[in-house]
Amino acid sequence: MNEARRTVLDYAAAGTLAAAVFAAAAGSSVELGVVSAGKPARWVLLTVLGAVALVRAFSFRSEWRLRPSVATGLVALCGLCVASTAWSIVPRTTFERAVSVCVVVGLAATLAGSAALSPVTARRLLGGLLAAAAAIAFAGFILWLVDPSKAVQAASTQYPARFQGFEQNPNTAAMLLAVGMPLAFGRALTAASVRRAVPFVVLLLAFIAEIVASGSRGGLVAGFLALLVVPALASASRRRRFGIAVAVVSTLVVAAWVMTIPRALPSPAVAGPSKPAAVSASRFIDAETVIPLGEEIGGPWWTHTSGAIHRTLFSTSTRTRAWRGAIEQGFQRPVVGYGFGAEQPAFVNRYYGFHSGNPENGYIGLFIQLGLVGLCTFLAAVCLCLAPAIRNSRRGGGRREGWVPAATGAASAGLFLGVSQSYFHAAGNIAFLSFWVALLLASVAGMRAPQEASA
Amino acid sequence: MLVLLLLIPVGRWERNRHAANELTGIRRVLAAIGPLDQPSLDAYRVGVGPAMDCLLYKRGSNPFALELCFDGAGRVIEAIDRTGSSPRISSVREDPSASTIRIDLARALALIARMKQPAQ
Repeated sequence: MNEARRTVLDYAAAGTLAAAVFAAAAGSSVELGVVSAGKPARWVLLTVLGAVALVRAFSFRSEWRLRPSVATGLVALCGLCVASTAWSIVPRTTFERAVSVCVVVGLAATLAGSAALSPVTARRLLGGLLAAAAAIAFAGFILWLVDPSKAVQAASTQYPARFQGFEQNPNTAAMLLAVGMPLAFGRALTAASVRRAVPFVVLLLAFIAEIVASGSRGGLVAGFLALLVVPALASASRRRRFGIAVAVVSTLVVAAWVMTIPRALPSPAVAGPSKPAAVSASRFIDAETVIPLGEEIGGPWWTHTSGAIHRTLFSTSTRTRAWRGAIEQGFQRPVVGYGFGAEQPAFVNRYYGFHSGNPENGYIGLFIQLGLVGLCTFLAAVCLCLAPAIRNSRRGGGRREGWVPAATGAASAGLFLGVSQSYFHAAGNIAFLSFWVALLLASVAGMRAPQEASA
Repeated sequence: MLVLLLLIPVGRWERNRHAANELTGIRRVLAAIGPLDQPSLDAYRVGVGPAMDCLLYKRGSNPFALELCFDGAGRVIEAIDRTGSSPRISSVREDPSASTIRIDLARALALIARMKQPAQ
């Protein structure tokens, strides 16, 4: 009876989790009708997920566990986010964002606590995340078949044509697919037979193909680095691990090469920085047409170049210029920052060729929002979550808990994504819920029931 | 909890210190410009950033050497000095309410309106 109830609640949680992640993706879809349904749906589904998570936790409360160190790290991080309302440049936004982030992190902790003594629950929850990533990949593919003009961002002089699938931006779906890659890989590695592994290998290849087509360099690198985490923690011989790592790196090289094949449009001939004289009939100059405030730093007016930007696989100069500026901005309020959720108003984009309202780096974003105190608190909370998973794998716990490497890989993908995407503060982001669920599942690795531990 | 409470005065002190530093930079540019209406007034911007208008002044051959940006309430929220090899930006754009520096808004808008008119 109890087992049947557990199964029902587990599948309810996993299904709602998948639906909530899909709704988050729908909230940033290229289809306007889907967006208007997805935006409210993601909060409704998060509420339903919260209710299911609480029922699951309460029904088997004697099995619910969360390490005190992990709980302390999460409380400190959430407390800091809320407290920053007191010094924020946008107090209302800070409070709203802090509360939404704390609620989602609390929800993820509630789910993870239920899986502490139940490996099957952990596998089901990770299955829910994998199903959501698969659904997004499939939806993007279907949209491409039906209306390629919506599923593909047209080529420009900076970028080749990029697959964006179901989303408004080529980098968006790639974030979730990068988190999905280690989950699919983990299921393939732990499958009971080759035949059972095949669907997960196919899914993994589909994720890689869509990320490559999207041209998302951050997504590609994050996904492949996360793939390396899975065999590193899996229970396998050193030789097998090495073989898998070589295969992963070789596939990354091939994928990166394929990504370079599509070409951007040729730049129109530019005769150098535009001339003030060409601006208006007035003898005075509209400076915005010559030296726009949003493109001042690194712009042609200062560099005396044509300003043409050619994006290659390894070119990062535009982004690093913005990162440098964002770090300088952060150091103007270095201890506790501008307030949680204040990244966009605090970060002023003055960087030539950089088209974003935030620095596109989650760690720099956290530094701007919460200063060094906030960044260190976040990193400490992450380390407290990942340490048990790594410790457990070293002790050979991976044999009993085959899901741990996949969860750790997915959490790692989220951390790697943070290098190229700013999303740690956005509860409605496509990867936010997946990241926290995977991270907190990793944090309960190796927990044992008292009688089991004493035995 | 105690640590979080202790961080509140730290955060507020940082906020005030940052605003004071930026306002010092803005005052320096204002002093370098002198009166708003002068022959070196050379360029303008309208409705940029968070609804700012800007006046730009020439120095030597540089038509955009000194820049002053203000919001609809006449608060000066950004100033840029381009007389060096890179721009020196002083800004409270993220928190305009921190600016205590005001200019004569009507006069500044009249200057922009005059500059936008075609040459005679």
